[in-house]
Amino acid sequence: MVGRVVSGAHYGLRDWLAQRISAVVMAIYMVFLVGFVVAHRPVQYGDWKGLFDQVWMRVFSLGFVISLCIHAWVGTRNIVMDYVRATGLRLLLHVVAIVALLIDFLWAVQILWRL
Amino acid sequence: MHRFSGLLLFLAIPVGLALLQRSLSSADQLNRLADIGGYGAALKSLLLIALVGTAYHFCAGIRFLLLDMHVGVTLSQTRRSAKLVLAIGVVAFVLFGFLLW
Repeated sequence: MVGRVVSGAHYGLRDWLAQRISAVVMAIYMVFLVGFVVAHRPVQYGDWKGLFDQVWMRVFSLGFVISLCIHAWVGTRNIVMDYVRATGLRLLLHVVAIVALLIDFLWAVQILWRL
Repeated sequence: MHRFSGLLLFLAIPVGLALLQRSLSSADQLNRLADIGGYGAALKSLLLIALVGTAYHFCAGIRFLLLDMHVGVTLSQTRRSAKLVLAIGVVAFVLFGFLLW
C-alpha cells in the first residue's frame, strides 16, 4: 500500500492529455487572433467589436479561456508539487491558483457576454 | 524555462483580460490602447515580458507536442530544436522590443 498525501499524487494520463489538448486549442485560437489583427491592421473598433459580437467567436473565445484555465491549473499544480514540500503551504498555493483561475474564468465570461 | 514562462503567463492572465475588456468597451479606449507610443517604460517592459513569454512558451510547447508524436527525438535533433526555440525567444525579445520602443 502506497502512503498517500493530502495534496498531490494520482491522475497522470488524464492531465497529460488535458495539457496537450488545451495547448492545441489555445495555439489555434492565437494563430487565428494574430492573423485577424494582422489582416485588419490598424484594427478599427468596428472590426474588433464586430468580431467579438459573433456567437461563434464568443464560443471560440470561451473554449480558449476554458483551455487556458485547465492548462494553467495543471501547470501550476505540477510546479507546486515539484518544488513545494510542506503540505500546508502546498495546499494553500493550490487553493490560491484555483481561486485565481475561477475569478479569471468568470471575468472572461462577463467580458464576452457583457453581463 | 517552459515552467517559468508558464508561471509568468499565469500571472499575466488578469492583465490580458483587462486589456480585452478595455479594448471592447469603446472606440476611444481601443485607440488609446493602440497608441503604444504613449505607454510608460514600466508598462512597456511588462508588456515585453508578457509578449516574449507568450512567444517562447508557444514555440517550446509546439516542440513538446512534436516530441510527444516522436518527431525529432534523437539527441542531436532535440538539442538543435531546443536551441532553435531559445533563439526564437531572443528574436521575439528583439522584435517586440523594437516594436514597442
